[in-house]
Amino acid sequence: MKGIVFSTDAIIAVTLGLLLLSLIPLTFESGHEEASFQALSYQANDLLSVLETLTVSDISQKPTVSSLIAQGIIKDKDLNKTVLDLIGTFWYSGNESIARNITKEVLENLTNKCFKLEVGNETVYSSNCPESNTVAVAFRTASGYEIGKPVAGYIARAWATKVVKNITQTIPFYPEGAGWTANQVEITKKFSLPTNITIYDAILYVSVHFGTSQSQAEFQQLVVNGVQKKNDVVWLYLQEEKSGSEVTTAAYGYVNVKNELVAGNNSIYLKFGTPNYNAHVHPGMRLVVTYSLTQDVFTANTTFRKRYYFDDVIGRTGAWSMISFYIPENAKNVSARLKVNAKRVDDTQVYIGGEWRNSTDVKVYVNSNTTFYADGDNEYCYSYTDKGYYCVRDIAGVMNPRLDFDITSKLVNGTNVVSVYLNSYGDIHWGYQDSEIYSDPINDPENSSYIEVYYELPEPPFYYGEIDITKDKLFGYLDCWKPLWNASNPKNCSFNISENEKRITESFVHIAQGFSSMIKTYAWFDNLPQNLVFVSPAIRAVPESVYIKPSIWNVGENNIALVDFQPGGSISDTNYILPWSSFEYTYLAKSMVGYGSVFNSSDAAVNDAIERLKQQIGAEGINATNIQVDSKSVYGIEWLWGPSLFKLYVW
Amino acid sequence: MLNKGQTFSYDFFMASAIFFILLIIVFSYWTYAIKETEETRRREDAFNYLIAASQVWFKEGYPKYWDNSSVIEIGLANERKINATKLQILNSSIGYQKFLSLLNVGPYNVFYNVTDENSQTVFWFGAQPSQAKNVYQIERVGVLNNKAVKIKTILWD
Repeated sequence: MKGIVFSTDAIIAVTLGLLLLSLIPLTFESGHEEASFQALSYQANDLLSVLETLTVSDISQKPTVSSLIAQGIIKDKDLNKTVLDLIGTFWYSGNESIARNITKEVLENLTNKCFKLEVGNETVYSSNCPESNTVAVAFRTASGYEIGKPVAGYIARAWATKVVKNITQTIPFYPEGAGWTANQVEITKKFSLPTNITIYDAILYVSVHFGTSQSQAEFQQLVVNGVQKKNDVVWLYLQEEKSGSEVTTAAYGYVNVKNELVAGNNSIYLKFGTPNYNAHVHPGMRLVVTYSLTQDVFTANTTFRKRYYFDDVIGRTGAWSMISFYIPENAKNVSARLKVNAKRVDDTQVYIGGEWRNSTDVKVYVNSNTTFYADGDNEYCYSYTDKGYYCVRDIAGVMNPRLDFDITSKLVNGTNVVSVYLNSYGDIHWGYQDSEIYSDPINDPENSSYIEVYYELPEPPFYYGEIDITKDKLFGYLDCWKPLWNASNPKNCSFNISENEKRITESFVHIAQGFSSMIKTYAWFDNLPQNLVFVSPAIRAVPESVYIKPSIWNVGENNIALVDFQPGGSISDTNYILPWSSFEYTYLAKSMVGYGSVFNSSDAAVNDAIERLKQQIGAEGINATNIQVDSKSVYGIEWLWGPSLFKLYVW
Repeated sequence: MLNKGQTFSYDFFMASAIFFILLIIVFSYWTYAIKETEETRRREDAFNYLIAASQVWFKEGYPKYWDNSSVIEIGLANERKINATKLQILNSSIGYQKFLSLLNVGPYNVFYNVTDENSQTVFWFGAQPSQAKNVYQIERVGVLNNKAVKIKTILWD
């Protein structure tokens, strides 16, 4: 039994040993196969290189190519193409059999191996051979000619050098006023429109706080270029506030002044009062003009010097105005000067502590609730009369102060507000003169009151070949939380920015309100976090417009939220944001088209380019009056149908 | 006791026989394996030489446009085509022995036969195989005078 066991062990050992030894020759075989594969691989690469190197003229004696040349299908200009290009040309133009024949005729006599040419995943030609386990493959990427596209001809591009475009321009009336105890405030806005325009529409939105008492002065005059329009105002919103016998109204309306406005210089005069309060313009008063403008196409500057003129305001007594302006988010080297030409300001004083002290009659605020400038050293009053609105002081005389300040240090990138008060602040007034913030930018610009802003941008807002287009959308037309056309606080609105509008260079929200206190403005894209883009620095500092940096916006749903709040932070109960607030934005449209399809004649290529240009800019409401074209002949354009991968298999 | 001794002798005899048979087989395989390894290495070397010899038709050499006096590395192509001028220089100036030294193909001789698509010889160079012990060959395809040509490279010793 022991012997049998031993023999079995030995036999198993011998068997294992023999199996191990039998593996040795296999390693020799694998080396041989590798060499064979390498040889095949060199052949595959060589054959593909030949197709890449030989030109059509080199194979002009091949039957298929010779026949194509004779038929005029292959022309002289095609003779310098490579054979690989030629195969691709015919293959992708639907002439598969020609591509197949050329491949066969060129390659079949160069190797005794089996081969197959593929492009993409399609077989151009394959030898009639059985499959093999050892197959070498060589790769090349190549571009060819698009199906049906000529490879030579004319191409053209076009660009507009002069265009007619529709513009929506907003001309603001700043919150401003005074007017005490039924004495009127007079506001005159003088402005210029371009001279080469055709006005299509002009809506003056009127937002005022005036009296409604039967015996008192109310909305008295609205004169546009000498034409009385006060009775044409359509009042959209009236919010009364009563205090005893005192009745005042925050009123919002509009009047169409298209027929009164002219290209060039214009003037709008406004006169109104209140029984026992101060008459003033509320946020949201603005003129929105739509006109067509003929302009040359140009590259915008990178340096800007802009003047924001005050409206001329004459108040009885006291006058004030809160002007707003913006500085772009990426502006550099920013500076600004404020010039105020004030007239007929009562110079007041008080006798306190055994001495006469000069009281403040002129106050300036710059982005702050503390004064930037005050002409006196105190704001004392002996007493208050007229329901506490009038501050009793001694009047020393009348002055015509002219102020000139560098306000650069107080500027912020974004919306800036500057308030000027003469003989008044808030609801408190003193003095008896018809004090005036003087401004006449048309006839007397240098003596007018204004803010001049300078800044530089890292690059022009638009380049040659780009046209800026401005649109203005009323909140009532946007998707707001509250029902459309309702007054509400807060007001949250959504709107879409389309792909065509994605290159926004400027955007503003024009705030329309009845009564107002302070405002916060938020803007955000989609569901991203809200950006607080503006908050009033002081009470009543609700600007005519708030600048919203364009980098916030994106293609898709965007959002704006406005909140009127009290100085303590609570949301105002009766101060509403009106649906005639608007979102104004400027975006860029291309006024040029690049090279297009290849045509057989220069005229056809030029006509195509012009038509493409007209369609492109026409979609944005732009007409080209001058168009330049550039046409040139081309040859050997590789209209990319790929790049495609050519694969040559050899086995 | 007698039975036990017989059993032991028989086992020992069988084990010895198997051991020696196995030893012979292992030795035979060992000898065979060494020979095959040497042969394989020799064939691999030869194949590498063969590839190197065939590659001269597809590289430019150094300098790019060499002549008899300046040649450092042999290469018969320029701009993806075989340069006919270089073939003339090869034949007229370089000669086979210098070519061999530049080519560095070890103990082997080399022979090239370039034929057109119809297998007609358009150029040949080198030593034709004669009483060759081993012959290795590879066929490549190139472009000479704007025509596709087949290049047979033969390495032999």
